[in-house]
Amino acid sequence: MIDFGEFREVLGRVEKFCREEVVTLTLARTEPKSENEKLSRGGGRGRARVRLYSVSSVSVLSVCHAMFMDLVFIDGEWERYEDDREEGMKLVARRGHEGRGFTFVEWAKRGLKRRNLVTRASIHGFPITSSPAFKAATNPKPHAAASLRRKRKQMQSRGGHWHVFIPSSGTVRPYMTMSYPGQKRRYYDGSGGGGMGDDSFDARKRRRVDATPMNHEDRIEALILKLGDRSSQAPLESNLNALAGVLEQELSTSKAKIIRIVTDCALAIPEKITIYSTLVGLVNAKSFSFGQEFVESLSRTLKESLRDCAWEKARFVVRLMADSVNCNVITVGSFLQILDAFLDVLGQSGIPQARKDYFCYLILSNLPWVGSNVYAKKPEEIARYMRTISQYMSRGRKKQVSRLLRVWSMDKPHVQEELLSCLWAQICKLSEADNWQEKHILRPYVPFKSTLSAAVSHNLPLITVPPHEDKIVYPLPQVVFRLFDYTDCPDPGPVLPGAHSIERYLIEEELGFVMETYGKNRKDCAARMVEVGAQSKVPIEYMVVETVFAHMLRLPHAPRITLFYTSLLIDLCRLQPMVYPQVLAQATEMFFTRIDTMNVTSFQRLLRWFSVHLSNFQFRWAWDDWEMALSLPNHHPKRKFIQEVLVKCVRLSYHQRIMDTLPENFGPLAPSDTEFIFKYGVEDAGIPGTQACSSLITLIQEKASPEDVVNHLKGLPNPQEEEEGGKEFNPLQIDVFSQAILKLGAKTISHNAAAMAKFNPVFKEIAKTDDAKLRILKNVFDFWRNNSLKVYVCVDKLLKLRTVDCSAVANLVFSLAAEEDFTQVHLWELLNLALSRMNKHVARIEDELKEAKERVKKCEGEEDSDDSDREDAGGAKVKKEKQQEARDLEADVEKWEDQFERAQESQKNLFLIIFQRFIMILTEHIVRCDTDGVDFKTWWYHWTLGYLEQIFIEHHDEVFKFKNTLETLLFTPELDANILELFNNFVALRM
Amino acid sequence: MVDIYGRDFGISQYRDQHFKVYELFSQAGDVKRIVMGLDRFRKTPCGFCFVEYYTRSDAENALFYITGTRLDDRIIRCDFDAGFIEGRQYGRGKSGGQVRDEYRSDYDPGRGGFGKLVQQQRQMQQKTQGGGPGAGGISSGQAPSAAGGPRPHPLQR
Repeated sequence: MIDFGEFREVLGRVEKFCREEVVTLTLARTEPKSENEKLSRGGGRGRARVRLYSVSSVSVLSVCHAMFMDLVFIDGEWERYEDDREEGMKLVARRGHEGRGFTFVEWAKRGLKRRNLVTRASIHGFPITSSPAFKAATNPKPHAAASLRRKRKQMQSRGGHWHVFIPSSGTVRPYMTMSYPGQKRRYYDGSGGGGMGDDSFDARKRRRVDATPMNHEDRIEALILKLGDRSSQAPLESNLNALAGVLEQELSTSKAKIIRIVTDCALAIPEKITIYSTLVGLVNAKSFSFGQEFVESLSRTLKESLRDCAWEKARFVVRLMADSVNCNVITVGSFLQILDAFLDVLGQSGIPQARKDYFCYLILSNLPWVGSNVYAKKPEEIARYMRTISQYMSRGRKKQVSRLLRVWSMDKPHVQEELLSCLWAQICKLSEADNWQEKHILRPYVPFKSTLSAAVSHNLPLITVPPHEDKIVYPLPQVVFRLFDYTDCPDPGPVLPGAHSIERYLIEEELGFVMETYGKNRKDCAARMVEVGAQSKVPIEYMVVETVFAHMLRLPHAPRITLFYTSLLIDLCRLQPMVYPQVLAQATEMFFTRIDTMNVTSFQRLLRWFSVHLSNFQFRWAWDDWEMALSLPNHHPKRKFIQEVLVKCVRLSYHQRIMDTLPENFGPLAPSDTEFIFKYGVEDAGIPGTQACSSLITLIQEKASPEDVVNHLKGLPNPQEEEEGGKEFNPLQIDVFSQAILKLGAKTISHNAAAMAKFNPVFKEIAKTDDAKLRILKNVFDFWRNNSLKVYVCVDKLLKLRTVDCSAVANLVFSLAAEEDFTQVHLWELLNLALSRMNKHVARIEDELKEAKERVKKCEGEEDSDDSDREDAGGAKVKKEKQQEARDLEADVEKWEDQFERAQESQKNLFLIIFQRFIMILTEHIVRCDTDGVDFKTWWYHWTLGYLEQIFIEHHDEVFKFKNTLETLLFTPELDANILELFNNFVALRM
Repeated sequence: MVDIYGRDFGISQYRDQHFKVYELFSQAGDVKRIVMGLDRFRKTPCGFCFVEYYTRSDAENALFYITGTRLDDRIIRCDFDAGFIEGRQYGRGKSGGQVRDEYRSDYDPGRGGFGKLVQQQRQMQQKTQGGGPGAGGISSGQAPSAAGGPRPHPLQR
């Protein structure tokens, strides 16, 4: 509402007005509680501490008057903070002209004098005004006055500290919901849409604000952090000027700190880099040494981030440098030398392409900032850069990007470009067609041109790029995701920039920053995203939707979980209900049209998004438009998409509800009813075990112990007795027992979990071999055949209880290869569940091992230091104990090492089993189709290969560890070329 | 281990609620367990539950991204919680359900119509209107706004 800088000014007036009363007045800032708050509220809440000799309504009033002089309205009230055991005055400040319809002009019209106008203030919940009602109002009820007197007395005896608590930029809460002392937090009912949780969260936090006064440096930090925020009403120029003035005064005492804060802010909020570089430029114009030190520190930061492989950070440092050139802080020549150092990397040989690509990207992605400046001053230099990069781009590198990273397998209607190639094309267009003039970047230094040109610029020290090492992991290549082009946007309206126009890149990047920065507050995130690109006249809603989906579907991993993007899109729809729902519907339609060529991993994420989105909008969808899918063959992606969406919707609601929203002719695609299938449900069906199962159920219901159950099961005959090797387990036992447990636990997750946990020993007793474990899983699968979610829940529980192991789940999945269910998403969710359980298990043991090793190290370190100063008898005893401890610790390490090895081994085996099974069924399919003389590229093949691809891509970190084993054992040159191609694509991920 | 005081799917007669909650909340991370909130007397769901995750970051995801969205047309509110203790699954309202259901003054069919107190008042009003003017007024002390704020976590450690 009003920003921190202004607020300070206002408080200055307060001081003037209540001179007799105020002893000290400082502006404080509370520490931001979270990263999120730091960014959204500009560094915590502001808080003014006013120490008064005595408190009276007069002082409250003078505070209010003072505020009003600045056209700032105040809602104020006394408040006691329970946690602080303090009380003070909380003022919520708003600028007058954006208040509730009151403007200064309006007041003037009514013939009121400013001084007579006191906005709402209250003591203990009772309003006070300066009108004749003032006296009555300050003493409206005897008990209130009494409590006020009592508190005043208390406070005076404690030395008379009073706090004026003023949130600097908090939202103004409606007057009615403000709390007064003693009032407890109330729930208010959820009628107003989303975000109630946020509010109540705030209210509680506010009460816990601690009372430490804000020191000087914190104040500067807050000012710098909030610079250029849209909440500020004053124009950016005056803010910049004012802050530069403040910083100049502070330079003598805290120069290093200021440099650090400015750099940190710029790197953390890269969309504001140009604002910070302007600030540095302005301070540099006043103090030469500041600029000098800033440049040196920047160069140090760049070195450090390159050394630590902080690739994104290094990119932003270079961007800050580039923009500092524009602000006359850094000389053009010395900046170009840095770029030269990066350019040299492109010409080196014997290093991976990923390294060259990164440095190429480092240069290209920062050229839009400095391009026009360099072009004006040193045109021949920039031409040389373009030539070198062009050489590299056209000849020096493999252009083929791994197929695994592509969301769409086809290049129609939009070409699937690799990020670097696309950026190169955009930069080429910028340099040739637009003369380096881009239209998006905010350039706040333009108005200060004369001031800045008078400043002295500095030379950047030369840096050397740290050499390549084999263990360094470079960023993976990326594929640019495109959904819309200019024909998709409504005709009269702004035009969407073309795929090769630099604005597209710049806006997408900025939207990405916003999602990164506001990741924990999707409401703010949505609000900020809508504002991006306001000055460059683009159909921002299309770019926002495209960028959100680009992030959601990005391979191999999205930056955040799908749920974040889902709720972000919901919030966007709520924020602009006339805009976003339409664009989203259009996007969904496009996804549906092109879904045949979509990657299976992205397909699943899209599915998850769409089902939750529908559940938030009453499952309303124009299903009729998708009627054509009904005539498509089974396994067709369009058909599958509808089927799977409906299954997910049923999971989020209930069967009848979904059926009611669906047109009647969609029957074949509708999910089946979600009831279980109890094998022994019919009494006289003649299935062996029916009797045993019903008696077992009664037994368990009578609270039998696991031992009783085992005894009961022992009575069952083994139908495999005669067969060879049938002695290992008794399938009838397993069937009867599993069905009984599932039946008893069918009601809720808790019932299920409790039943499985209690009778886990029985499972372990009767199922010791892999086949027996598979049999359990088969029972689960058959029992819940109609309800994929419950299969998932049961398998998850069985895995957690270690009743079955991950390889059994893999066996289950592949045992269904011949069946209809094989291509269904939920089956593969099971496999991925097993794999991620395994990976987590290995990671946990690895952590334990690391910790154990560290403990040994620490212990050794202590021993060394002890040796020198403890020679007497007591020391010897201690030493002995120490040695014992060290031995224990080492044994611990050995134990973990052993476990780690075993875990890794089983992880490797699991992956090998899965890949082997995949190869088997795929090869079989291809051979069979060849003999039948039909094309093997059926939809079944499409899905199966897609799921194999998904395993490669989702677990690429793990699979890379045993790439060599895979190469020698499974993916040998004799393999079918189609499957081998997939593996080669995977290897190509890390070139 | 962090609980989420996830709540609000209305008083629905469908026992699949448990699984619905699982479906939605498991998208935020690996769910450890779900404890449904029950009416203290009738032992029926009364619109809140505890969802426990293995890691705090998963719980944060749920808090940040599920709060304010809908499940079965009910808005969900999430809050961090110190941890589930046996006994906390029961509603603490006078009539057995949630405290907020006692004092609610709006009409919400998904939560069983009006708040409990308002329902009582209405019933009494109907009685008094039917039985003539002799029955006397309703104590104003029972007005929804006069209630002390509900304390959300009686056993908070």
